[in-house]
Amino acid sequence: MTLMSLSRPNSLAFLAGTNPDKAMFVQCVTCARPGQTATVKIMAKRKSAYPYWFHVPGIFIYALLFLVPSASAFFFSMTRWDLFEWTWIGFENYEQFFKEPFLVEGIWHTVIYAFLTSGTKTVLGLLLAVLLTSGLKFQGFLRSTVFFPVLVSTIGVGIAFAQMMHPTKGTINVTLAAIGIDGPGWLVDPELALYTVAIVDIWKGVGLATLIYIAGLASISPEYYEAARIDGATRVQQFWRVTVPLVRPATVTVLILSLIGGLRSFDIIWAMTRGGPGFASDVLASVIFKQYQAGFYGLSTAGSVILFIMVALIIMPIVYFLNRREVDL
Amino acid sequence: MTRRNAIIGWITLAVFFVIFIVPFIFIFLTAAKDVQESAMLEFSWPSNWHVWENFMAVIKARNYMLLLAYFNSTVITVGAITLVVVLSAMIGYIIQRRPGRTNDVVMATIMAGLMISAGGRAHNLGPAILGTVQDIAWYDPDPGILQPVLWRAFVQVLYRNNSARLGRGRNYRRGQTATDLLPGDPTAIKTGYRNTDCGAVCHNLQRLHQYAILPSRS
Repeated sequence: MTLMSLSRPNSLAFLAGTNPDKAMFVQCVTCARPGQTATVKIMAKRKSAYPYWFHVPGIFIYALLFLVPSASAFFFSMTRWDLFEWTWIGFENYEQFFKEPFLVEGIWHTVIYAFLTSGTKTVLGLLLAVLLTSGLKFQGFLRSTVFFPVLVSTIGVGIAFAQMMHPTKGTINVTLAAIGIDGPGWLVDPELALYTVAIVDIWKGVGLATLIYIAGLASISPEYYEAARIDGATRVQQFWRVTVPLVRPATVTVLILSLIGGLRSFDIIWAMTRGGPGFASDVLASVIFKQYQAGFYGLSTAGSVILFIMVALIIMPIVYFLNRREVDL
Repeated sequence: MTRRNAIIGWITLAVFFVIFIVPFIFIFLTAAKDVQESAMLEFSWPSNWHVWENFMAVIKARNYMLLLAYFNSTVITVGAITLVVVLSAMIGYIIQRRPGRTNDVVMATIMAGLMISAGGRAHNLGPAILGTVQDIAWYDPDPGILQPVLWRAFVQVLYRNNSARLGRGRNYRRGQTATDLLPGDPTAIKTGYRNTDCGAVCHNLQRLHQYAILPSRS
């Protein structure tokens, strides 16, 4: 075999009869002399079952619809722009963005909203998933029920909840009044509006978290629970010692997806409050949209870039941390 | 079905009814009312049912715009999903199975796409590809149930068909996991994998092996 004669026989003996392209990979790591590597590359080129041209169609569309607009976004955020003509103004848009107290407040709202919704979705999703995999009566129906809000339109949900949360006539406050509680002005109280929207977002999104967790729980082998029971673990101990560590891949998925979704969320806020009252529930995405509507295209593009950088700064360390911990599991 | 599960089931049903079903009843009842009555925002039975009129009014609005919108949505959705399924599965497959610098760059680009929001939602492809990689890397060969999105189902098929190629080039037989094939002490192999520095993308592959090995540690 050519392969064997070109390489150090001892270290590669185990490769005989294995999948050639896997062998290529291992060999490239271990080979010392350049001549060997070249031979290996030629063979890999001919034999690889994973050709790079698979990237081409996807990357082409991705570049066309994403990379080009994004690159132009970075450019136009440095201009004063009316869609037809632009003048270069450097970082003026960014300066303006950070000078405006309402816009800066929007950044904080975004962070609060994102962490509140993603944290609650993760915790509630896990608890609901545990509940809905424990063999309850109506289990199938209950699973469908909790997932149903995910399927309906966000705008529709927002409008319906805005009606139900009307301070005097809305169903929620009427019901609360009937049992003697003076309901708060859910969406008209500036202190409360952002949290109200966050609650509705959680209501709508918790079904997806539950679904991912149910799939994650299904992949935990029952033997762990059996072993834990034999060792005398209680239900609570089983939850903390078996379920929570082993469902970790699902936790990472839920946390990252809902955090990114929360940081970028726009439609439910727009449907319920339009960022109001005042600027009380404005997040970055709605601020950007308002600037865009007002015709400040350069400024709104700068806002988009800020949002991107912010999401990257928040998500990157979290992804790194979660993935590293997962390796140590 | 124990008595306890039945009782908890009923309680959960009651809670879920109030939290998840009542809002939809409200939506339906409001949709059946006329303009004046719906403006009162009451949670009440409609005095006159206007389901059909409201329904037709929505369809006829702006010269049957809704039907056109449905048609457009269908075309866009079917076209987009088809492309996403095929193209992102292709990219995810290569990224997962062929660790190297090229794929690190592709992966980083796609990760950036997940985080950016400029340019609207035209970039669904990014999350989909990332999801493909995650699915291959994170999920058990038998994910059991509930893969909600079409491309995930596709990826699962892809994954099952090709699981034979995983693990140091040895072939799996049906029902075998990586644990059955990797020689020696699984922990030592795990450490070996961890010490191999093969870039960010390769970590997904390493993680897959660890995940597959995990059930043997107890």
